[in-house]
Amino acid sequence: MTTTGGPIIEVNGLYKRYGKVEALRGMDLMVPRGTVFGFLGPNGAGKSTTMKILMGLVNPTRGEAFLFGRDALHAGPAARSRIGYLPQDPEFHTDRTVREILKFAGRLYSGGMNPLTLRRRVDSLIERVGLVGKARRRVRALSGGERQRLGIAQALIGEPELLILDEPSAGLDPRGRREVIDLIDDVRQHTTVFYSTHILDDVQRVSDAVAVVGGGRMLAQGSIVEILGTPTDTYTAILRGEPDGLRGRVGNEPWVAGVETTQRGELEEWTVRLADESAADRLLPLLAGQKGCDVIEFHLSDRSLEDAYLEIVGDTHGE
Amino acid sequence: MVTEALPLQPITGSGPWRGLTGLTGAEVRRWLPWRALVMAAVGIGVLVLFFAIWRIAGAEAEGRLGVLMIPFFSLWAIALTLVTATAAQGAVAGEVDEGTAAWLMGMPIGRPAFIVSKVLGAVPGVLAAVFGAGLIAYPVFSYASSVEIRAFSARDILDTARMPIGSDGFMELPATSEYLGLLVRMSLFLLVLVALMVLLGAIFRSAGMVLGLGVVLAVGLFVVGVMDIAGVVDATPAGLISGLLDAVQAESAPLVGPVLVSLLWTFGLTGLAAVRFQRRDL
Repeated sequence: MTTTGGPIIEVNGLYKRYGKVEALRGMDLMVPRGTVFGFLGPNGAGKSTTMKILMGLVNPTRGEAFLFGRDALHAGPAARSRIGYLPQDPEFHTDRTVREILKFAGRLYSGGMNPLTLRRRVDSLIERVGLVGKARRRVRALSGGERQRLGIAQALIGEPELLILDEPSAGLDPRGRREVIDLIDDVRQHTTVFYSTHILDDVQRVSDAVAVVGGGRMLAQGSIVEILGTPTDTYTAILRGEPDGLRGRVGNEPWVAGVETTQRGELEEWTVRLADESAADRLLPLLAGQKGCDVIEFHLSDRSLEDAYLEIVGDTHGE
Repeated sequence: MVTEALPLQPITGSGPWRGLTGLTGAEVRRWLPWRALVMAAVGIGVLVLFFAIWRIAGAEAEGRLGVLMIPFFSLWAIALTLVTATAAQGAVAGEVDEGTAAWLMGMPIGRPAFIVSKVLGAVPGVLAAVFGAGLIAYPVFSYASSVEIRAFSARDILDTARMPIGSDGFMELPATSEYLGLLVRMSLFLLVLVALMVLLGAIFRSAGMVLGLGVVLAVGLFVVGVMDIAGVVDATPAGLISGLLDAVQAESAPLVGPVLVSLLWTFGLTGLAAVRFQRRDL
């Protein structure tokens, strides 16, 4: 699926205040159609509030939001019939069974879908989310993880164009988490997936693009490659042997901001962050020029999404 | 990241009634059978209580229907009001509090449909409870009054004037049509109460607050109905209570006017609830 056709979600200058708490402070967001889009940020950053506003569950204090190019704040059932939504901590009528919940939801989406087709779809989803054997169990008897699986199945029942998943892996064991990621990977062919999570490895594995939010506003948005960027101030060196005091000498150079070392067998991995990027050409000669020390590797450091995330989020925690 | 902007346009066909059938069906299943059975059991319990008292009174109460029927309807109406208010208190406030309203509204369901389903879905349960217990009670009243049940006739509907109850408790058994009218009054009063609870649930988040205010307002209507305050009774569902008491005492009691007024109040309260709920954060 290509990303043409404009954004499927667009949010401009969204504010939301709960009493004295400002949950959103000018949130901007653009989710291209056809992408798997990770929505990242610390707790309280405004992820769930943004998703709830898009779903029409919460009214913004001010600002605008668009779904499928149309005003999301007055979208109503017509827009929601094209969306599958999994809230954080999904709640269902506890006196109904898994199958009843899915049939009820299916009828809301399917319109004229005949009962046999609906039953097949329900059976298929029950199997897909691993609830075979629990289909006749009442919701009140399900574990937290099983409810999460039911929520995912319910979000998929209408074969939506857009999936909005608020922490779909929460409460799941590692196997369940893997299954969610596989499921997102499966549906990406015909569905745009906008999901929030704290599991950055999963995001890096499956997402095309991410947005990092903090303190109720957008901090960074782009493709995974754009977000990771290429650090130009951090170098990794693999050394064999270490002359006395080398670490001190490197660390004391005015153009070095920090040194971290990790022992890996007989080798030692150094991560050196420079205070002055232009001093990079001085680092290798300094390391290689020491007697009793061989430089096995020397290159710019790779960054994980976690590194990039922590750098972007910085000190917005608790804002 | 570069994305092509799409011209923004208002959405049409939002379908505020979407999901009404499914939601109403679900709500009917909440009232039937268990809530309705409990409500009917309350009525039968009250009946058994006063029938036992009537029996214990022995010859003194012989043929005095008023001794059985008036206390029964008074206590039954109060008990049903409390049971219905308790049953309906969580209809909206409970769903919002438990997060199931957010689950439902995340699907293609109109908010007005959610609210209206809460009132519509209560109709079969309330009717089943009131008519279930009420129709069981009628043969008991017939037995107590030593009067055979009269067959339904069109004249009964028109001739609403009954023999007034005397201070000695002697009164005539209401005709079946009048007795059904009495049950209709009771049912409608409970439906107004359901609509009131739905409105309070759309305003307040606390189920306790909803129940407390609902009971206070219902008792207020009772008092107005019992006191038969002119003007207020005609314009409010208190007319149902006033008419209920008149009909129990076999006095002339208009039915059409209070029924229409109560239906208008039910629609009005439900409409207000829908408007309030439309902008509610879930």
